[in-house]
Amino acid sequence: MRYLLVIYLLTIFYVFGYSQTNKTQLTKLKPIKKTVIKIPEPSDICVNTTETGFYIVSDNGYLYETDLNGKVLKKADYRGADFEAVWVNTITNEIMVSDESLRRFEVFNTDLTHLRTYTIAISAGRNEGIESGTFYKAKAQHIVFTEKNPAELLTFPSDIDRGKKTQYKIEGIQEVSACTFYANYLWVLSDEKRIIYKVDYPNNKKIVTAYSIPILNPEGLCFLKDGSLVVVSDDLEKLFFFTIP
Amino acid sequence: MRYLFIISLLLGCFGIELNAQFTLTKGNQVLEVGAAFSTYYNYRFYPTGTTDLKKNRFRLRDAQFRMELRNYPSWEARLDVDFAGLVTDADPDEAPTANPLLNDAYVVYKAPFGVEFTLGYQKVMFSRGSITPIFRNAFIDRPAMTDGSLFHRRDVGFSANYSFWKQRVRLYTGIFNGLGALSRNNDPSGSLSWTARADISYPARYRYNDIDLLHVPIPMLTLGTGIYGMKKGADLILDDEYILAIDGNKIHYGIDLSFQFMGFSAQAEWLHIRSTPNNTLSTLLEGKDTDYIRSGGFLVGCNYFIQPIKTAVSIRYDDLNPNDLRLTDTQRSISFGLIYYVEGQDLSIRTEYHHRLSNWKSDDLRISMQYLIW
Repeated sequence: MRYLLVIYLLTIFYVFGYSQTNKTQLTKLKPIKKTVIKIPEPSDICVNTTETGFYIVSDNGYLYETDLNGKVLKKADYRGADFEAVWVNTITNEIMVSDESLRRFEVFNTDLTHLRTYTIAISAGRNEGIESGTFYKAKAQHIVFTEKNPAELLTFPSDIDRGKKTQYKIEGIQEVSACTFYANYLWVLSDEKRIIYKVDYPNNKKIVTAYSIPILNPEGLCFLKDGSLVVVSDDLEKLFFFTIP
Repeated sequence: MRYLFIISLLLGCFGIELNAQFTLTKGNQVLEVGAAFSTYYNYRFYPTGTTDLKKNRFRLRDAQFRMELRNYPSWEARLDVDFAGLVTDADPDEAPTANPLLNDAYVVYKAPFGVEFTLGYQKVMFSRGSITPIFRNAFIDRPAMTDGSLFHRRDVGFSANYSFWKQRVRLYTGIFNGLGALSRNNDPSGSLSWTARADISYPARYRYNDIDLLHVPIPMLTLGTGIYGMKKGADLILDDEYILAIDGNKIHYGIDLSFQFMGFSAQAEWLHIRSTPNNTLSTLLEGKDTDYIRSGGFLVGCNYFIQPIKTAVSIRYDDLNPNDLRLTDTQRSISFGLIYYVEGQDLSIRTEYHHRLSNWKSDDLRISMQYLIW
């Protein structure tokens, strides 16, 4: 009787739970190179304005600039609380950083001097605020994602003070830790699933392809000029380089 | 019973999108408010002829309300109240921290040189099985070895912790009242208890979580060891067998190990306690020719998270000798568990069966639901 109960419940969960699985086809990627970075808890990465290095932010509220091997060249004096996203406004050449816990965008210039702060009203848990961001130059838009519960795409105009945001949900993506624009697609990283989604934006906003990456706690991604994908791991404090097939 | 089957069937169909805790921000301050609930039905397979069937019941295990305030970069505070502790028929033989009204009430200061200091009512960082939050545990109840029957899981005091090597190494130390539950005064000895713990993880920091929900892509291991000493002035014995405190010296040693890789996870823990009463004629010595009592045991658990069906299966063996001077009181159990994660760890349904070896207690079947907003 007792064992039948266990089998019974297992069957129920299998029959009903399986229908909720994500059936996206995945291409598996393997890193071709990795480097250690001396940045504690790195949480996002983007290519710098001269494409000669990276901007990397950390959970403890600092912005860094590094070379293409991750060697730290500069660290901003300004300290936030919980930096989770970094991207460049390619119209103004300003560095945008999202402070997830304090619901702020911090703006820096290219020598990492802090310029100003925007407060962004987001209704989400402290650790589920704006986790990622990128800039869509064609429409002069900042694109950001809330991490989860729900994972939503929000847009802001280039001048954040003007205009209002719009919100979208991308079907099939439940959690987002990073995003970037490359080759006319929006690339979205989920660290819990270790999957990178290639999304057709702004057209139908659907997933075109998905790639799985065998990286522990991947929290940021960007692309180099030569098409190499770079992913930063928070727990391992490393950069991983991939080639997209 | 059949109604529970139907309820579990219906709950398994839901794909609920749950929300996280509520957050307010003001300048550099962030206030989070959250709650957690868990209720279970327990069915004990009493021997035929038993007339006291009191353990066959629903139990509200957790009704927690939590507030966390962070004042970046240096200060934090937490208040965590569990209204399930408002029981009117509290079992005097149950560990004082088994169902406390207050879980946490402390303030943290994060010093610039990396040490964090905590003052208030907090978890005693000694045993991994005790430290792991119950919602991250493979089973809804801990075995007696780590549930607060043999050492205090929470206490009022002051602690410090420090981590380095990319948080792979964590060090803790603390001093506490040594009473566990809240009390206006110390016991007559006026002495404090102390604890120290170190754990090392590789290749990255390891969180206190029994189930590998993320299917980590690389093998991860953590090894911990702790020591907890106290010299109190009064005995506190639960259920006539668990020595929680003693009029004398009591020292606890623990080692724990945890591993995870691609959904598979395992935990092992060993505990050894030496209690030396001040009174050499103490009844705890059972009239034997010795001046100390040894207690302790070990547990081993394995789990696997089946990602396509969002279900974790677990098995655990625990073996406890509460008093080595009594020859027939060893407690052994083997437990089987199933957790269906309806919506991650925010909403889960658990079924577990505890089979008691060595006939020290009847078997229990338990079905529960946990709902978290944090």
